[in-house]
Amino acid sequence: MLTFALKRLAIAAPTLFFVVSLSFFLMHLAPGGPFDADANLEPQVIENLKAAYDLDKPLFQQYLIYLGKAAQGNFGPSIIYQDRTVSQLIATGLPVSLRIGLAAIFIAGLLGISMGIFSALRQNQRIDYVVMGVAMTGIAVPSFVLAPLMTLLFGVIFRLLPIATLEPSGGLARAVPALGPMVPYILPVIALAIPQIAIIARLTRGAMIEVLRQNYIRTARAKGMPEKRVVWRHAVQAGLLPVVSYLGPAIAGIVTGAVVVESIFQLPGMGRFFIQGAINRDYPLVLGIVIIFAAAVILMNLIVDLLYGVLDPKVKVDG
Amino acid sequence: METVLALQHLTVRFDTKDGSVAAVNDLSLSVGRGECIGIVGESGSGKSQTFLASMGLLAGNGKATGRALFRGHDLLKMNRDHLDKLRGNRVCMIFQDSGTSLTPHMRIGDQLMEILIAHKGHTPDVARKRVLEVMESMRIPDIEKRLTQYPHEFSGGMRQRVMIAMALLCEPDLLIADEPTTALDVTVQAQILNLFRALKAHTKSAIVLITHDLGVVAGLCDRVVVMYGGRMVEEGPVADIFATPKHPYTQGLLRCMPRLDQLLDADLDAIPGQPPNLENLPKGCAFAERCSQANERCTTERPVLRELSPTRRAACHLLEAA
Repeated sequence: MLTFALKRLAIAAPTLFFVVSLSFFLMHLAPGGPFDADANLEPQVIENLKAAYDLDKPLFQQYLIYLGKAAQGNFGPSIIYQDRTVSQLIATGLPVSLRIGLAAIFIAGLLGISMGIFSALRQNQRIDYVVMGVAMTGIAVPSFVLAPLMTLLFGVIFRLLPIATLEPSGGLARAVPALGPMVPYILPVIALAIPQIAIIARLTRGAMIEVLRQNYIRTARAKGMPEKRVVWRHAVQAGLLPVVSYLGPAIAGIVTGAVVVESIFQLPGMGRFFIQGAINRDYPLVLGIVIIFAAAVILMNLIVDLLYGVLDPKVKVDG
Repeated sequence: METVLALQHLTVRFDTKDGSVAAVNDLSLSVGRGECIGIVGESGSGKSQTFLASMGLLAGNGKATGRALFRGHDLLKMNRDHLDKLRGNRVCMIFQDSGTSLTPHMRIGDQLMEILIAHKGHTPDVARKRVLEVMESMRIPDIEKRLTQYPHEFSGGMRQRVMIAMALLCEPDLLIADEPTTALDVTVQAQILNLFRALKAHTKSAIVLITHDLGVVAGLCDRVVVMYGGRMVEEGPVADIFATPKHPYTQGLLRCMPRLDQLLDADLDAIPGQPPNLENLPKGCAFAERCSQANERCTTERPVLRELSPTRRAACHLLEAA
């Protein structure tokens, strides 16, 4: 298992290289530059600024310089956030993003899997249609619609939760002080999790219905196993395989979702830095964040493969 | 002889998009203690569905009516808890296709032991001992290691032995084997049939052997029930059925069997035509359109099952005329 993990991490290096290269050239392909907004600066000042960030050199040379530094873990200085390196910005943004991202994945898995199993066991009954209808709505409504609506409802109208701040405030924080620092994360996490809950619920339902039709489920019933044991011991493990494979794409969905959600809720996470960086053509900042995002997706896919080996004895995770 | 299972007017219907389909129609039969009966028929004759219905294992769109009395208690009317006390314990079923009939992500040992833990209240250690004992009688080598393996690490023959061992753990009163040798190659088939022979000699269980292979029936069963189109067409002691088959379908089945005293290049007989479409059964005898002796009455009026002798029954108009 360890050799498998190491091998997979070795393969991750070329993947990251490809992602970085593509992002680098796409960024520079986009019109405009980091100093276009500073129109009142002397041309000489702009020249000096460009030289300071190596932007005066030919593009391919910039690319090589960037690769060389990035390989040593140096993502360079940020252009818009002066006096701060990209690594410093990532160090402040990553914990915020990780917190809401992991919480969202956890909640999505827990709720999605529960809803899916619940529905599968009541296939084609009215309650199944209700649950799946709710799930379909969750898939159909994008987070940039959901997030402002929730802000309006829980932040502005009911004044339950704080808006655009990491300070705990609002009705809930006063009513349950124990929640304390978790309160500001509630809305963003829900906004991020809802589409994933919906997708995981539908996936789980489909997989469980399929598994419950298998011959070995009939065998388990023929052995006199109570339905609880049939479902939880004989069915669930196989029913979760598609959900586990979805965790890779799910983390990608959470990452893209975080970009939107963090901007809407004004959270100082990676997503917001990413938007700021992209708008202002802060090349080093965007590239640094792309590397972190890509690494997260690659890492999640590795975890998925390892989990697969645990869930399915036919999958041998070695060498 | 004490009756273990008595099916009375059992009918199994499935709801499909095109309406309700009867897989089994008005079937009555009984199996006694220590008796082995063979249920013979083509695919779709309803032989498997009859016993899946008795076990409460029909697919979701299936519905069984009539009665399936196990030692006097109607299995069809039992609630799940009551049924779970009997299934795997007093009434056991062995399925064909062991490749898909064992839970792929559970160790073989756990799949066997959970039966004893559920029905006998054994501790895992006690259950394990009993499992080893039964597995040994199944002639499975290297049992201790085998118990920690998963189904995909077993060969087809070994998996089928596990399926049989599962059914024998609690020494059931009724053992239903649904095509237990079908998915296996010939040498393994012979080994499995030997196991059944030994089992029959040593147990008082009633055994139901569902098969399309008359050869299997000949070596093992006391009595044969032939099914066609969801109905019983003939029933009798195994020797009589083989010596003097009454129903044209049974006669056809017997002619289809390859024989050692036949010339090698002699053509094997086959029953012409296809098994009937259950969604659209003919008004008369379901076998009429494939029957070489059919007359007009066969296509218009369904023959009823008639007693030919105290031990034999058949459903055919031609037998009346004779």
